[in-house]
Amino acid sequence: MKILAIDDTKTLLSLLSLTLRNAGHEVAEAENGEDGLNKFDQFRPDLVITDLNMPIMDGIEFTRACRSRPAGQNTPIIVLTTENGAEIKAEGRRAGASAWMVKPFEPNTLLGLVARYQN
Amino acid sequence: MDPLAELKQTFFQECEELLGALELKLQALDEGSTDPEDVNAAFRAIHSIKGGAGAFGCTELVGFAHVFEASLDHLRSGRVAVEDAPFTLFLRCADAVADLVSAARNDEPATERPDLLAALEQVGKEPQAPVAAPPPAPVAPAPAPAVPAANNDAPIGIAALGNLLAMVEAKTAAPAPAAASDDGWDDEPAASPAPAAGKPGRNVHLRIMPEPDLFRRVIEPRVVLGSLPADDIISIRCDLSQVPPLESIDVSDCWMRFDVDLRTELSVEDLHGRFDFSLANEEFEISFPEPEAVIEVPQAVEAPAAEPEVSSAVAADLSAILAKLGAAPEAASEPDIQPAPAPVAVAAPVVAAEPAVARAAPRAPAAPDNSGRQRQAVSVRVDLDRIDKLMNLVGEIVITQSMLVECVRSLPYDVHAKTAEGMLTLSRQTRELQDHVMAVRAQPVKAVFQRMPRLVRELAQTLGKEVRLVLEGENTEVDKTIIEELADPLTHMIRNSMDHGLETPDERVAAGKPREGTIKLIAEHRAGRIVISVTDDGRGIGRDRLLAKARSRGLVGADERLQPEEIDQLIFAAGLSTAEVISDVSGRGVGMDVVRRNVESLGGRISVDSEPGRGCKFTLALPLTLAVLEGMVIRCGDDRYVIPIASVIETQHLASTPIERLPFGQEVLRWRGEVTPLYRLGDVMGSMGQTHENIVIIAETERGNNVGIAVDEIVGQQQVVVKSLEANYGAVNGASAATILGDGLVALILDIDSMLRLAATGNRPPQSDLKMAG
Repeated sequence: MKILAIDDTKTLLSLLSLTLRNAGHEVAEAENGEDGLNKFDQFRPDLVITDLNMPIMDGIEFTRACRSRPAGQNTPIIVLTTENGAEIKAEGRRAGASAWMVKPFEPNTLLGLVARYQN
Repeated sequence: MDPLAELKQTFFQECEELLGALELKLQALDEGSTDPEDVNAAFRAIHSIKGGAGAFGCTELVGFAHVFEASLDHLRSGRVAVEDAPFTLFLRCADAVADLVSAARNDEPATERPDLLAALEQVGKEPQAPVAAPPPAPVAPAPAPAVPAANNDAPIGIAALGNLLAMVEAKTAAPAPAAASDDGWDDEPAASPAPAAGKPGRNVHLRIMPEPDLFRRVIEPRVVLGSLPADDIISIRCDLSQVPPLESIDVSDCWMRFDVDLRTELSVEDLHGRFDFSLANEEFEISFPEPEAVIEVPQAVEAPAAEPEVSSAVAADLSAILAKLGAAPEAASEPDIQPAPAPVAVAAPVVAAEPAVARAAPRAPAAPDNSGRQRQAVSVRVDLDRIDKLMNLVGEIVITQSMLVECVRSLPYDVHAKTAEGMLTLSRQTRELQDHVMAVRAQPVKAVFQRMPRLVRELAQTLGKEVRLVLEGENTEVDKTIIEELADPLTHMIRNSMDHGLETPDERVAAGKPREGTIKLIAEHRAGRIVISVTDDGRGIGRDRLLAKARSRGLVGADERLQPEEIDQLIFAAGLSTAEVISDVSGRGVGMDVVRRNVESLGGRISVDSEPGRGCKFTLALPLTLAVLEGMVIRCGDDRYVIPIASVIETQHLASTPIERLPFGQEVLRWRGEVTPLYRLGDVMGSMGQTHENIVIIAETERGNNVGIAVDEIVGQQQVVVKSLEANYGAVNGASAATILGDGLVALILDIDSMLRLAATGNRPPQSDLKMAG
């Protein structure tokens, strides 16, 4: 699967793509929402995994922006967050996020979640 | 190294940067900034540290960072006004985080900071609430009850609770293994109305009622239902009763409802976790046709030992802790809960804990993160080694290129013209290449500067002094190799100023100065060098005491007269310390002489200017790079030298310059109305061959004085590759390094200041410590 991973913490981003690549996915990385949108257009991912709290453009804004463009309306977006608050989840849902995952994640949990979006 | 360990190292490097940013932002806020982006940036820094720490299992760090983050979030959400925020506490917490990071990095046990945690938790509470009467809420900082928890005997504070909660949550979100471990439900009376082939487990009814926007969230019912083990599903019914009339239907809305009957061994948490990753709590309902299933939660709480499943065990611990904190989940105290809405009962432990941790960080809906957006530079991390290789290669190209230029000169004219043109382009491109490679290595001194506020803060505390640190020129760029060498000398210089320079607040007041002392740390480029000064407004160097000490050590002869400035330089002599009380801060006076030696070995210099009662200024000058230099090639006798072009102000014919001779033999010339000392390079450096000085080069010293240097001829101007003399040959007075010119011969690169020292001391032994002319 082609997966776009977005996180402003470079280490976490690397960890994320390492985990995904080891499982055989093709990964593109972006450092914030804005970067993410650009990569989205170039890379045309099957799935997006994005951090929530980022400079320049956060995960919520990214999701909203992604949903507002034709290519982004059918791509599942998994939001990674360290917070598990209902409010922030609701905000994400309103923006169009498909799923949540609380950081820190177990690689297997992540891969399990990703696998659900694979045919 | 395996990729994970490598990543971990990267994470720690990143932490350093994040900590620096955190500290700078907090400092800015402390000094009165109200820029919301400062708050956001500080929050993001600690947030990123927490996230990374979680990924690498640094539990102590996560715990502390979590509470810290929550406090900062109060600022972000506006619940606590920035003006009222306890930045001193925050700065101390940033230090604590730095300690935790370095502990995690070195695999050392972390120091618990219950005091700071407790203080952090008070942030955002009723400001007037007296400390003695904390609210009876679950958040009362627990006086470290020794709870048997999976947390390495760490005192259970709110942080540990946060950890547990995170574990519970992580567990909830994790899909359980397909064959869930036996959780003791086997011995239930099997009163199931519709057993799926008599499977073990119990009957569960699921009602999934997504919001209409389900499809717009790119959630397919298939994905949602696919999270259930196929074997456990008895039936799935799609309820279409909500679908609106055809003419008003919007195909992108989801009006389907699903009723699923299951026979499963999965616990309620597990089931919950299979949906709440993408569905809101209102979008699904778990219920049990069998009433006895509902008592699951109380059972898990009351009999943790009988509960082998990890998530339940953790939940049990959590409940135990909550109970100790006086905030037991309602479920625990009400075992006879009503059978009806099971999900509520299940959610109880988590919900009960939320006021303690999760809800401490609510989000103000009107606080978007995009205020004061900044475009951040996209960057790539490259191994320094690779850049060094690149740099070396560029150096070789430069030499080859200047060699080619020499060759081309000897070609016949018609060939020469064309080739020369090509050579010109080549040299321009080589120059550009070199500049770019250099730029890659250049870094702002910020990396070092931002460590200093902490040092000052800690020292101020230890020494009982009040100090304000002013940083200037943080963005001054210097080669990476130099940056690394800056930290030690700067630390020493600042320690020295804090310990010996600045007076105690009372002494300062008595001397008519403000209580708070000021230390300025300033970086700037001057004469092709980076000059960093540490200025304090303290008492200055005690010259009498210093001189007396130097005399008693035999460093200065009993009848030797020294200028005040010369006395000041004694501070760099080995083994001199005038501190009345030898403190553990600046040690036994080993500091400054070691600093001087280190700085000089880098081709730099350190000097001091002191004004008794007014303060003291240490100036550190280092080359911008150790790799290349733009130089003027000159000839003197049979030898050629390179003068760093940055030192050169002007050149002129010697014959047209009026020269005078001072009584003690020093030649001076008038240059733009100033009396400027003149040195004949051949005499100073002892050049071979007959010299005919025709040209005088006016050069600038690091201290900003001008000198004239008489040479025979200016050969040209070019970039030269610096080759260390110390590494290849041995130190040469008057020269900082050597280079190889186009014809393959070696030329010395002159160091003006060192040359002047050589001129002043003649050919006396090189390390005569106490004379620093110029």
